Amino acid sequence: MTPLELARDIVAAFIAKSGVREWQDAETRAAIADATVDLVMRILYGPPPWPDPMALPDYFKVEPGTAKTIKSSSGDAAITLTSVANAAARQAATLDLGANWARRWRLEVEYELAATPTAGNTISHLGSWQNASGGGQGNTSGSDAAYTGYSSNIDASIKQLEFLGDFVCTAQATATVQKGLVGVIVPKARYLNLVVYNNSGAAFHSSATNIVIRLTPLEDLVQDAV
Amino acid sequence: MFEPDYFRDPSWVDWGCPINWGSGLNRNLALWYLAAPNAMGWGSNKVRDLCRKNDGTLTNMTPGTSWIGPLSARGSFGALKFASAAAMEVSFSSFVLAETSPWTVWWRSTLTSYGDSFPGEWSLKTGQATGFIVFHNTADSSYRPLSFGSDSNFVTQKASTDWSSSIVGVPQTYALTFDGASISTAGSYALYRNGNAETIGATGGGFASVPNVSHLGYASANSTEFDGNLPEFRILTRCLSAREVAAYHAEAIAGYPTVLNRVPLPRLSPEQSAAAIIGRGLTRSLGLSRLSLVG
Repeated sequence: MTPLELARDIVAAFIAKSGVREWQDAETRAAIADATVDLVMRILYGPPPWPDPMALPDYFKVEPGTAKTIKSSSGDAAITLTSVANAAARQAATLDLGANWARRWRLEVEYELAATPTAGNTISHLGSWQNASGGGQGNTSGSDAAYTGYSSNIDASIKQLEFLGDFVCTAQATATVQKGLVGVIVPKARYLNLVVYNNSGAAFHSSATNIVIRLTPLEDLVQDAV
Repeated sequence: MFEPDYFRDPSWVDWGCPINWGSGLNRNLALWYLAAPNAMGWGSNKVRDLCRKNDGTLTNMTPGTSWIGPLSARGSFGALKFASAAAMEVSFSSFVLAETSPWTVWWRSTLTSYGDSFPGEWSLKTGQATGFIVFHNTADSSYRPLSFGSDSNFVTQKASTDWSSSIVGVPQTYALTFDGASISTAGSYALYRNGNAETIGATGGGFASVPNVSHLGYASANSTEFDGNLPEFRILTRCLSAREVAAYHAEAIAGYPTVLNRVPLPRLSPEQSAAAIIGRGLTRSLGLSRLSLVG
């Protein structure tokens, strides 16, 4: 029995034991509530004196943790998106979110394309979640490599991956680094094999300098203050 | 203690696995387009199917302006905005509504206009020949809440009530169900608006084939174009009961509390929960105001 169930049962028993409609009296109700609090506090903390009244957190807040990056080098996981053609896909090396990972992560990207993409076209992001580094769902390998599904069937194979979101392109010419939010994702496991599926209408730039995928943990807080 | 916008804010939805398949309402759900900011194709030229089977493509629409937020699509996360011009449509791989097995088409929309010469309609069409048209206001000024194909091929007769004044500018949910018994018999269909059953009339004309649903917004056969907002569209391969349709409507206006998967809120310790319920829940239920256990 949980403390909640206990408190509920105590109050219910008190009310049942009270006289006919006695519980309608304000003083009786107050007494019942006081007695219930007394009993539950004894159960939780033993005999008095009890700790000061608990300052119960009233607000859920969020703070960003340390971001993890996926890029060609010097990131937390590698992906070489340079010159990946339109209608082609690339998979990243396995990203480790840590033994205790945040429940929500903000996925944002910075992309530079080799030609002007079509506004509204998308670069899709898909993920395989697993308990260990290496191969995962949808025939992802866990290594930085081209992704072609099982047998050059990207569209069919990505159905087995979780759809993390689209980056929506604007018609910016090359040398403009497009930066955007893909979405807020919810990891299902510690390790992520990310797949980037380019349907922008243009190839990625031949230089990886301005290509970064960033995942920022959104750490939940429960606190008193606004 | 709880986030007031938990069910109104789509950022709490787990868009990676959005559908709660444990919900009975989602049984046999085959296609679901749901406009939600920063999710499922929002802002792009694609409408992502939450079922991951059949994405739609925006045609004659501008991604930058066709997706409108909740302020413009009242009561919804967002919507796709169509206009009675330019043959705007969402096209997708043809979805065959079976002739001998049940199905349900469910959608949510707000009409911008409902005129006398086809400006206020929306449609599902099959190829270029026949269509599935809702709110078809025919040339003889009769109002048919729903018809298939040409004016002479329809499932529902004239509506007993002209809906035009009650639905223009007002968010509505609709469901058309088919029980799988007889594709050409009106009694096999049920039409619902905002969870309530509408009268179905007799069928007419030579309707004999089922529609291949493949377009939303435009029926080129008679140049009918939907003029309004479309927050969502669903197809199920079963016939929803009246109770389920009502439940769907309740879900839609409440932010889909059970049919979508959400990120769980942080959990309190048992002691915190006990203090909370003693200090707040029971105090309130007992009509007291003097307990101050909680901060």
